[in-house]
Amino acid sequence: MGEDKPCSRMNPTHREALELPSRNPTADGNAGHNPDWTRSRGEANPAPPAGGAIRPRSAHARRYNTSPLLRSLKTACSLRGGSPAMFAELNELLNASPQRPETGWQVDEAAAYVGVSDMSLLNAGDTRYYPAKDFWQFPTSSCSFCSVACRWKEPDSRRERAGGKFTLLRDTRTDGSFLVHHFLSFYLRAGCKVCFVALLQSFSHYNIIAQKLGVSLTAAEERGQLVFLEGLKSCLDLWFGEQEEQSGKPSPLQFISKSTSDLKALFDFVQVSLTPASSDSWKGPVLLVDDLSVLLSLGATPVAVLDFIHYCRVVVCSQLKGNIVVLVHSNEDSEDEENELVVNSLCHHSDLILWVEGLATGFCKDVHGQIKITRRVSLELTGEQDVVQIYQYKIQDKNVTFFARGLSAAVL
Amino acid sequence: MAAAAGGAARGRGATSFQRKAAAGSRLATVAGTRPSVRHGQLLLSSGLPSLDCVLGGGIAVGTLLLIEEDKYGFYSSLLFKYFLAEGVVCGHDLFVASAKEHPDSILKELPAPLLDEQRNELGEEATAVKSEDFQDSMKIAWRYQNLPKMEASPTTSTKFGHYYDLSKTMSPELFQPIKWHSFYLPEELSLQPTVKTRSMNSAYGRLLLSIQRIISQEGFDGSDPQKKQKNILRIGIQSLGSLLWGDDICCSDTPEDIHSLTKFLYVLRGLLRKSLSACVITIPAHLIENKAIMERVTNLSDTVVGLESFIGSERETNPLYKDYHGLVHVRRIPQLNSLICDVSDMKDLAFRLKRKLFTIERLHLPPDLSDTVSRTSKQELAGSAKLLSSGCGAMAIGKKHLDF
Repeated sequence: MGEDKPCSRMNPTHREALELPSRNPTADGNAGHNPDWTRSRGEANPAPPAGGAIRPRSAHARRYNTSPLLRSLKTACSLRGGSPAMFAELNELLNASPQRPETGWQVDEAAAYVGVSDMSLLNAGDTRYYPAKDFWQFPTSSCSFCSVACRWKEPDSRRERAGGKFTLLRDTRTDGSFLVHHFLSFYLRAGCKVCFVALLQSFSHYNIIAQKLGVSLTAAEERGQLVFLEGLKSCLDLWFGEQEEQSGKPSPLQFISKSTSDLKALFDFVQVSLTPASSDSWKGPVLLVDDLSVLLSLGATPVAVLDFIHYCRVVVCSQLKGNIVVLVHSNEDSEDEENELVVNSLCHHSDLILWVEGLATGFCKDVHGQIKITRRVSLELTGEQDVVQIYQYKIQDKNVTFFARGLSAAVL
Repeated sequence: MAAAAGGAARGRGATSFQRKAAAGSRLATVAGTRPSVRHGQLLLSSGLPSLDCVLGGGIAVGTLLLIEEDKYGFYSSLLFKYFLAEGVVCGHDLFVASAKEHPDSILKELPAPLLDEQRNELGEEATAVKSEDFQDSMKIAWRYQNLPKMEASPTTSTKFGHYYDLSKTMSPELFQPIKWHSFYLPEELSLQPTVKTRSMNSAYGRLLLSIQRIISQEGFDGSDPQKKQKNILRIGIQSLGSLLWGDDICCSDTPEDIHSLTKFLYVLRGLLRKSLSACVITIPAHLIENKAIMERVTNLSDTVVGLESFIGSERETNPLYKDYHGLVHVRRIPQLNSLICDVSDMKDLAFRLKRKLFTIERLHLPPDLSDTVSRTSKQELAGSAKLLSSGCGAMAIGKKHLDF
């Protein structure tokens, strides 16, 4: 990408302490200090790429210099003068912008070991290879929905394919759903086609919060950009509505009432909603799942859940070059072993992990928790370690502010 | 009205806070509720104003409050009765489900609400006890002037949330205009021996069918636009998950069907979200051996409050807890329609049952009136004195008591 690796950048507070000049001298020549880099807004790089609108710098921004860690907001904030919305600071931290949502992490598909569904088979040496093009036809063997260990067959020599990104959101001792709202509004702003599997809350809950972040879910649904699966409603229809079952298409959540514990119907729903129709002009597809742990509570086995994610990755990330964002709950001393199995497995396969934890020292009004951003650079097999960044955050009504550890308002 | 009905069928949109003044006045006509400024949902009182404070104003309509029972179920059944009594006083409809005792007998034992003159009397007693800190302006501890106070004593009159007298039961006249429905499991099993329920414990399946039938028949989900006066349905389910419901999660470590309870809660959540109702469930969490189930249940509920009573434990005789009868643990607060949840600052809560009143308060340690500086108890002092006198100097130094 031609940019500095995050690990070689110095912490802005250290940079100030050592009185080094800041990386990006501003256009009007103000050097140095950035006492509160959480408030500074990035100024365009001296050579902005063509086509990016540069937001005129306010007096506030001129006083506080750019921090070397903050990427420029030339794309994220210059959205037709609209509200900054969707956690602009998180966009900076993730180096993402709505203008280019599809730049995934370069994952070497050939080397990614995906979807171990049955460990005993693996140990017995019976790993079956599925050639890439046959993979998304479901094998017609008796165990139909991928219950065997499978590995990507490497067709040629190692080549890098720009596939989509798999982002895992996990939370511990706190609620990480603010990240789901962020990604939902982010991808809708970017013009991607989003399939949102919302299992835990009702549609109006997401709609009200999305409106605070500047996106209308009803409007997105009407123009076909958003396919919203409201888990609670479809579960009710399934449970109490006996007539619709025979007439309409099968419910995506039919694993709850049937004895089969595979999530094939849910996968079919995702595939149908994200496969682009000829009239669609959206950028890449995105699958968003709010709370995979609920599927375990509803009777799906962990193997079935992992298979579902595996199939979704194949279709969405590799075939359609889209992204997947999934939220799971985890706890270090949890006794829910099935959940921990799913979470650990997903951690190994994801390209980006956002781990939200409550503070270990307890409740604090000014710091609601800490977020650990792990970029899985090690999946590229170039010998590098994963890049881990830790920040703390505070949730406000319409925004979430991120700051380095120890720089919260409670301390400063 | 049609818009509201359409909205209610859609989700929670009809009852969430709308900026138009006309819709706002429509919201206020539901008796016994008030809109929340935080997230725009209607709030119900749980029957206990101090619990309402802890929960951020009350129980939101459409949510589920899970109470983890204390060891002998005594205090949780009190909270359960408070919830139902509040429904009677506000004029809401009730749905009581139990497998243990018949709902008729539960409803006969509801506490009587305190009327105004009785409340003043109780207020005088309470203020006489703590008159030393009930001052208009503090002269010495003036820094504590602005600490938030919990509403524990009935000195202020509120239309939202009432106080109840536990020594008296509710008179039947208050009960007359109330419409209530009951679900008593042994009765249901005898009335309809076989009911087709798929992949769930049959008792839970029947309960769900019964709740869904009441909600749709009485129009709580907005399906009946002719109803002028909207009302709330208060659902109370007692001791869910216990053996009497046919579920063996409380008696074995590897239950037969660990997903029944969580599926039930999920479908119930769907029902609550699409109707004007609120639910309180008490669950014997101390009996469930598989802690994974309790974690999943906690994740599927909106509000979870755990009660830990001191009966029978060593804390009963601990002088630190002499004023209280148990602890209250708030495990989860709902996050509705906003990014932040309404977390209160008070984390250490305890409850006490006075003669007539049950209150939840912030846990205060009693003042240390002993003449030693540290908090060692008298036994330790006696022990170290004995050791000193018998000449084991080294061992006495190891004790905390240092007296020069």
